[in-house]
Amino acid sequence: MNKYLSIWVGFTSTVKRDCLISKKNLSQFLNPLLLFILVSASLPFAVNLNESDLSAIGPGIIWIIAILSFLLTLSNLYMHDQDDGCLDYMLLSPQPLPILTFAKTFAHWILSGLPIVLICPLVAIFYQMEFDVSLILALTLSIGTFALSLVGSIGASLTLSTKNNSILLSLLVLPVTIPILIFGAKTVVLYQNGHTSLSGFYFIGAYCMFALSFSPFVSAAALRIGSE
Amino acid sequence: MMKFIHKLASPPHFYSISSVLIPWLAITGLILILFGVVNGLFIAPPDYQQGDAYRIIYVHVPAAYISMMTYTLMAVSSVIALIWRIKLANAITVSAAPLGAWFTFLALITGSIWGKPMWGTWWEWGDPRLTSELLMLFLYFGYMALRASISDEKKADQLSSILILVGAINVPVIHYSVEWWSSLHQTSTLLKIDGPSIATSMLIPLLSMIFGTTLYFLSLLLIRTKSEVIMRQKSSRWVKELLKGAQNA
Amino acid sequence: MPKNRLNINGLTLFRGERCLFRDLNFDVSDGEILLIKGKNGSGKTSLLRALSGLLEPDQGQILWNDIDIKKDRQEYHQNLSWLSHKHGFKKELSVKENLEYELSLRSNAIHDFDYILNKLSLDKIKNRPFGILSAGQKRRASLARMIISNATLYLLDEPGSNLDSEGQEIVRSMVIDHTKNNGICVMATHQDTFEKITTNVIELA
Repeated sequence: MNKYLSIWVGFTSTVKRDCLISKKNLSQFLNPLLLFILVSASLPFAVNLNESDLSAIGPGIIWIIAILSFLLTLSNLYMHDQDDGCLDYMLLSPQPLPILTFAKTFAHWILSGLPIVLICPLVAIFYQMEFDVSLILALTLSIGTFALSLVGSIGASLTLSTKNNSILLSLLVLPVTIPILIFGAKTVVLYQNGHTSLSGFYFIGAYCMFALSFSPFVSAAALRIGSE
Repeated sequence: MMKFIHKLASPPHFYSISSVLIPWLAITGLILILFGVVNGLFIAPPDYQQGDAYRIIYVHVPAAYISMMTYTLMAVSSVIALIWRIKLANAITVSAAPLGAWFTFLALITGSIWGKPMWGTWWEWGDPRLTSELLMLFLYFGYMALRASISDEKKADQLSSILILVGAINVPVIHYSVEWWSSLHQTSTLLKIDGPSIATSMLIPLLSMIFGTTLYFLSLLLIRTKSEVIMRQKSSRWVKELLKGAQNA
Repeated sequence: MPKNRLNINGLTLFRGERCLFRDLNFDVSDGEILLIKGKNGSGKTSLLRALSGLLEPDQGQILWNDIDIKKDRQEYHQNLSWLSHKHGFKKELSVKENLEYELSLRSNAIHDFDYILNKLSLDKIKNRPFGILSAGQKRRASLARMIISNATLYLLDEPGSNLDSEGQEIVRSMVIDHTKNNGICVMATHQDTFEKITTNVIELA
């Protein structure tokens, strides 16, 4: 029998725990989602554009608002754990720390990214976007928000020991997300104009895989250094 | 050789060696820059396509090259600081950051000024090289902001070094972006296998500017690192003796 | 059964310019209780954090059964349980849910822990959210976690703080029981109440 519990068990139980916490603290879960819906729904009223212009800017706008609402919850990724002492227990756990950081990142994506992905076809209606276009948008957002969770985890772990860390976190994470933003929005716009090339997906997917390869380890190292 | 490196890594030795080097680097650098400027602005012939507008290349290319070289330097010294725990490497990383940021800014501004007559636009968001160079500027800012907001010096050094290493992938992206994607920028002119594809009369002032700016940059880096080293070691004996000696002089 | 041993060799720690301790050498093995004494700010918590691996010392080595703890963190953490003033429980989840999460991360934890909750008078509140518990109940939950983790080495940072005399008696009896079963305890405290039961003492200036 294995001496330590398998990392799969460590991963799943951490994800389950974070989801359970969210279930009991629904307002924390709902707030960014509501912000996303409200802001993206009210923007078409603020700008006076005709139908085709609105659906042309729709992908980019929805992408940006998704990124911004996502960033709201990112600074809390490790902060609550630091405040109540759970971070020390994470660092002292017999489970490898990268597994725990990846589990928390994945749980964050399920709780913050996935709702945005699921609700965005609804929001796309406000921008007079066709249903199939909104599906492509949702698909790009699903990979994009996952990549964002991964990169954000690195930023959150680096800024853990600073004061005012949510501003600093945005400063660190936003520039790095510009490539995903560009390619994500461009893919949808190209699809709208009739091209069905997948090259944009390849780029976002590659970015995501690349982030996946080092994000858990870098976050773990930064958490260890930050807690000294 | 290893002994020399170990000697160099010791702060008091670094201090004395760099004090000797700085004037040589600065003066040689400035002479090369002067030669490059005079040659580039007045002696080199105008380009058959762009006329005299191309001459901004003599500022733009050295600035861009140094912006990338500085980031690479910071990445290398971050690795040295994190793995081999050589404290001097932290001082170098910290000192190089503002210099790198300035040169990146200069590269972006001169590039933008050049872009207007050349491509008809000040900026192009989809262009990979422009976007990744701008990203590098933000990485420099992020590094400096992160360092400034962590109060413990050791933690600040280590965490911001990690940030630099995470962003290091951007440097090859900037360099190869013109080959991987279609870009407004032209492909490499200097670093080609069959030699540079630029006229010699234009190449000479360009190389002079590149080398001159590099030497000048190194002298600035050493000056900044010297003061950083003194700040970090201010309670050690060699610094106290140094300052006492300066007071008595 | 081979004895477990914690060795500290030449441990030096600075905080900024100030030296907390220099060239510290000691060991603890099965059945021993080590007390780290000192005033507030003398470095007790830092020493304890260095022993757990959370803090990296400037110089020196910490060996668990002759293996450097940095080399095999997993093995060391499997045998270690930690208690500090930050309780490390999620306030939204119940005591039971928190403890179940803890034992899901360890292979050698005790699965049926109801009798432990009983002993610590936590069984009636085990399904209440952790956030509404009193300070004493929270501390007892941390103690429950230590026992459930079934670790050999207990590291306790100010275990008696925020506890009345009954609570302190619970800590004392837990520590004594643990060492009777060949466990090791290292405690950092400025209180005098635990001195009678300790085998070794280190005093930090």
